[in-house]
Amino acid sequence: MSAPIIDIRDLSVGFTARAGHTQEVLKSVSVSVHAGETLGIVGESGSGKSTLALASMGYMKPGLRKLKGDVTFQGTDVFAQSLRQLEGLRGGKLGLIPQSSGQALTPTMRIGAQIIEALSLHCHLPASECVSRAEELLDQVRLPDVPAIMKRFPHELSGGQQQRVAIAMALAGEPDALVLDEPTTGLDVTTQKQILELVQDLARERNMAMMLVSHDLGVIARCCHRVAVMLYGEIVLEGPSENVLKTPDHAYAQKLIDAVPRIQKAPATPKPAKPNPPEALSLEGIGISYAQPSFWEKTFGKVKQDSLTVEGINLSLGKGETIGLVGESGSGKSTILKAIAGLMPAAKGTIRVGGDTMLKPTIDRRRPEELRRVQMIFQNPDDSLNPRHTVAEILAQPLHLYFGMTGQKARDRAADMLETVRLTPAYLDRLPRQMSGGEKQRVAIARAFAAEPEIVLCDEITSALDVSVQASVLELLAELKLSKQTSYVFVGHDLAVVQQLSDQVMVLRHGRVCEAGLVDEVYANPQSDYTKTLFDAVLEPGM
Amino acid sequence: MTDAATQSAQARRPSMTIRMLQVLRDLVRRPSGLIGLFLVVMHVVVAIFSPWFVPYDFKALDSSLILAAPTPEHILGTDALGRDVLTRVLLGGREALWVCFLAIPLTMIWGGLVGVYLGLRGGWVDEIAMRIVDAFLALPGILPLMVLVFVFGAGNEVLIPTLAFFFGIPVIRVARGATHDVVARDYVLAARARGHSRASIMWRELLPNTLDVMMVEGAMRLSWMLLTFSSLSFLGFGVTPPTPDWGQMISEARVYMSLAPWGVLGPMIALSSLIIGVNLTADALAKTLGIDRTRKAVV
Repeated sequence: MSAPIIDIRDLSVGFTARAGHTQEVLKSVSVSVHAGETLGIVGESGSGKSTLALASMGYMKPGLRKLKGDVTFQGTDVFAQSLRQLEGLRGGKLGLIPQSSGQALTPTMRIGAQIIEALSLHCHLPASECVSRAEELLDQVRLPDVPAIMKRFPHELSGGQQQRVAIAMALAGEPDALVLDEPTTGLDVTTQKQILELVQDLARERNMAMMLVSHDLGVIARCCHRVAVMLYGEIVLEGPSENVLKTPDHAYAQKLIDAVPRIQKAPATPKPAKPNPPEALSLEGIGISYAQPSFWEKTFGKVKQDSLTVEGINLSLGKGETIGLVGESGSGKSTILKAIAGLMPAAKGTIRVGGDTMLKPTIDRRRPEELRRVQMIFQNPDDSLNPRHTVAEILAQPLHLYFGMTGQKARDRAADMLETVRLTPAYLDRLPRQMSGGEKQRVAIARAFAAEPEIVLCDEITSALDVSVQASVLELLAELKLSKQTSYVFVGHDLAVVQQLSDQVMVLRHGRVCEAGLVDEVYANPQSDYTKTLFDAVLEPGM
Repeated sequence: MTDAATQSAQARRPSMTIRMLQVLRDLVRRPSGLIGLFLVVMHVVVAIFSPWFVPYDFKALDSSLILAAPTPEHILGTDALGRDVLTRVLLGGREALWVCFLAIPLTMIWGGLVGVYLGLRGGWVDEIAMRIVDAFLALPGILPLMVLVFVFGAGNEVLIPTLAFFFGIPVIRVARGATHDVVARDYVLAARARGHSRASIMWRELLPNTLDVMMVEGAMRLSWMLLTFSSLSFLGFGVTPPTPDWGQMISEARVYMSLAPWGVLGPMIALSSLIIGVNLTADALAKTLGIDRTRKAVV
């Protein structure tokens, strides 16, 4: 076999922690990528996978340094190069496609100008040829109407289009190798599928070596020839992707793969038909507008019907049931949650809880008792817990507000709540930054349940978590649902997660209901074309 | 008390005092913080204890020694009335520090509370209030102060609230900006969704998370206020003679600057070292707390 394009030998990277103690981020890592081959690097957050990918380009985040080992690219030692030589290499023969390309593109430059800049830096083309070459590149990444795209600014493109532009820029230097750092994270499933297909096609056409970093095993399984699984800065398992993903002979890799939720085409145990439970939540003809009504519209009670972002939402949810809302970003699924919570007033329609109580559209017109019955859990626990409050203070807030508990009484109750979410009372005095992502989300769940709600609104609550943590949080939610007979409205983009937890599902597109029904029926036999597209775009390891 | 409760009571999170001590420790680890804090502490110590160790009476006139050059008896020479300059320099910061140290907390409390409230409230109330703030900011800083002192007299009971009021206006802007960063966070949204009152959201969610910005802002405002106070004295609107004050001393001595430069140099060095000290401390504090002052510009 020919020499590898990127060859990493025995690489250790670390930083100096307090008192001269060195903390290793990468521990004696060795991997190589050959021409035409795609290596997937998978691991949970903090496993060092991004550090490894950037180190292959000779880049280290500030504070990190190489402790030992070598990185060679086409036979040249990357770390022995001067900064100037490295700059020639990066973006030239060695391209990087970063995670959020929307932020990697210069916001004040037109797309065409940015690509031409990349071309003139690496290809030394005369200005006259740059434009036609730039158009050629944009055409290669399958962007429609290239001349128009050239004139646009980054913010005028969708996330998927921005990622395509980033790929085109990486291709400008005729690279022999590409490093992709979470290239599709943050994109919708259908867009993700298209981007991955594009990258694979390009790799094949140009016989490039690719290093693909992702936390998503589905993405890795879809694209990679070989896979390296990372854990705490070490590669614990490496091999051809079929072997690693189907029959991993490492306990952690096995756990990681098992934790990935999969869509079950035919449910092994059909969910028992419940005797019609009493209604917990019902929405009738809900319409929501992003544009807040102006003073005149409010005064004369006139709402323009055509300006509604979300319209015609009807749902009825029984006690202890879950409805999953799925759809791409911008489909209005989170907006519906906000309307139920009163954070974004519904312009029309009615919201009822417990079959009888009608909820007013805004929070300040709802009574505390009504507010208590509907609680919300947010996507990112880093953002939903006040960084200056201890867990005890966080949990005391709903206890004080709804039940008037203070002092030791609130503290005892908070300790009980922690136990319901499988945390010990020792967490009471921790600050959010002293906890892991999964622990923080458990605290957020405990805070919602402290209000003893009837309905819990979950907004993508597992998407910021690692797969293994996600599995345990979902398990906890399922348990709480059984023991407390709570109803969930669960917003998710991961169809498998939604299936696992839900009884009903509603597929949304552009703020309208595309398809709705019982989970088992919709998943087994999707009716609308859009739902079918969504299912087709799902990537699972071992498919 | 249960076992778990006792256990956790021992492991309480660091209290406010401990946090302040930690900030202080990180502060003196930076050269700018160390130098700045040294200068400030030195001035404060001198201001507190100078009445007990000044060499002469600050009022004592000596007609035989008018504008005398420095000698071992009068290290910084004497002024136009034959008073010892060193004595007056040592005592000259007392009024400025006393007034500003009292006025700054008032400034930060009123400006901070109004700013945080407006940041949370938004809407037309915010819109109107900010236009009023803009109108005040358009006034040349010292002019309204001079008018008020002229009308109501130069006593501390006038100066402190007046300074606090006018210095609080730009603080409103900064506090409102800091609040906008916090209001967008999900924990504020969560509190709103639970139905907490606006006061509760301000107290629990917003104020703790804008405290760092406000601390740095307070330190910056202090240096401006010291300078403004001295400017007022320089213009004759501050401390009433014969109480010594740096601004007033500079104003009196500048007439004889070519004859007796020590009369100006002494109070000038004292005033600038204090202001540089406060500025350095504020800078180091901003860096310690991770607040980017280039982005959150002081208005």
